Amino acid sequence: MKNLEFSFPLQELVLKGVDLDVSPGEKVGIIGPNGSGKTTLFLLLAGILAPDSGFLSILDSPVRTGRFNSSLGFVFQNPDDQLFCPTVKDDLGFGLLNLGYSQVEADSMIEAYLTRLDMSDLSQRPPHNLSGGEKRMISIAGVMIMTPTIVLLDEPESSLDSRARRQLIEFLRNSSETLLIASHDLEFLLETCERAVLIDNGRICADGSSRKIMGDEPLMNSHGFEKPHSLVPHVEPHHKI
Amino acid sequence: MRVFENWDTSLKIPALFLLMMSMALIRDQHLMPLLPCIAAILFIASGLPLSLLLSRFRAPVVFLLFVSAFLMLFSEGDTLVRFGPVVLKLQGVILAVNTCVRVLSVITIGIIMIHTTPLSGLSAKLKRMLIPHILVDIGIMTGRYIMVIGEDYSKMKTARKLRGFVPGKSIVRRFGVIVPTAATLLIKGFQQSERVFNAMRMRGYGSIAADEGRNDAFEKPSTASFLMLLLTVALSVLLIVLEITVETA
Repeated sequence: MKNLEFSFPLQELVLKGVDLDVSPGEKVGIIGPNGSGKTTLFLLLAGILAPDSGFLSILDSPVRTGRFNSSLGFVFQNPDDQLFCPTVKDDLGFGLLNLGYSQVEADSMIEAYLTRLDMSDLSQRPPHNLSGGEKRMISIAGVMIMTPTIVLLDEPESSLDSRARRQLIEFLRNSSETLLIASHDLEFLLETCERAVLIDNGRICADGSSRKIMGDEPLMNSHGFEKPHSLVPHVEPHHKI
Repeated sequence: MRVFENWDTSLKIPALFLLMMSMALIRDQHLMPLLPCIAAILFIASGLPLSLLLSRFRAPVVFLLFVSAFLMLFSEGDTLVRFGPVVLKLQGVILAVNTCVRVLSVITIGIIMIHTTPLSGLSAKLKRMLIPHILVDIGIMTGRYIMVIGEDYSKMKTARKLRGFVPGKSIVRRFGVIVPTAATLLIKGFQQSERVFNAMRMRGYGSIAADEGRNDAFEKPSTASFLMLLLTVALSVLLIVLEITVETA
């Protein structure tokens, strides 16, 4: 994206001249305080909102507002917004059927995916009967099963217990897609993303290695963040190596 | 028994719906005993637990009690029994019994239809029945999110109680709280519907690929499904023919 600007009607600019390039296969963490424009950035990339000015492209094709782009997946912040089918199986199959797979092909892919996640027993469950962690994993699976090239994840680790959080970290680490992950959980981003972009007040304030950005205490403090605990020098070592 | 669960949904729903309609048309009291017999046989064949049926009957039975009382007390005709000022009419009692039998039989068939239809793949099957896609999607979404709205309302009620709200006798105070709660739920629902629609679009809903490129491997219903369709249609037609015959006799 080049010189991207956006504002909601009758409001001030939410994004002011944002420039960002992401290479294929990169995992980029987007950090910023509430209201900094992270979710708005994702909505623009997904073609849900149209920018006021600037240029947006994905895989060298301009982003067209309102058009479905099968190479882009978006995991929303609230899994209930994403799990809209009567059963888990139907939800995972929703995107596949829209891509043109037959029911038989979709069923086979769903079964394989649920087995990989060790969640085969959830196949016939209604989504509202799932736990928070299960909802989150299934909402991510519903997007990833469509094999997008780029995935936008908006606070994917929120409301996960430590076990589900660890499972998600391993899952994202092992994925080959280009990931953009917006999150307040700095330790989560340190473990999943090699690159971090700090947004505040609609502008990119820092862009570089996750450890370098998040290890810069004055930078983090000036934008309302604390240095992640794992980057704080310890007098007595107490972390497992 | 999995007779109904193995019956193809796109044949089962129209067949059972037709049966329900034909049962609802029965008026003659000589044919009335047929209805609970048919309903009972089909219910036993469905393998559903009796406790499910009884739990689903609770609300309709309360309604039927009021309807029956009205029919028995205010119908015209011969007096059956008198309790002081309260007079039960014979024709009213017959009408009340017929109504209850008919309604409960139809509801039983409806319960069999709903509880033996797997949710998975329901949307695709309903669309194959030429029901407008948008209506199917609205119905499925309503069923999915009505629970969410119910949970939200429940949480709001708890939050109100924890902040000391006691409904009391004042209707004004009650409305003063219920109306904003309903408005909040409506706005939340609208906002969530926008987000859900965006999530659906992000997964290809309404795209050209979804409309044109779909390779729908339509699974042909089994012979057993067609046989059951024929039997159910034949039974429905028989009921209607019997009703017309008895009426004109």
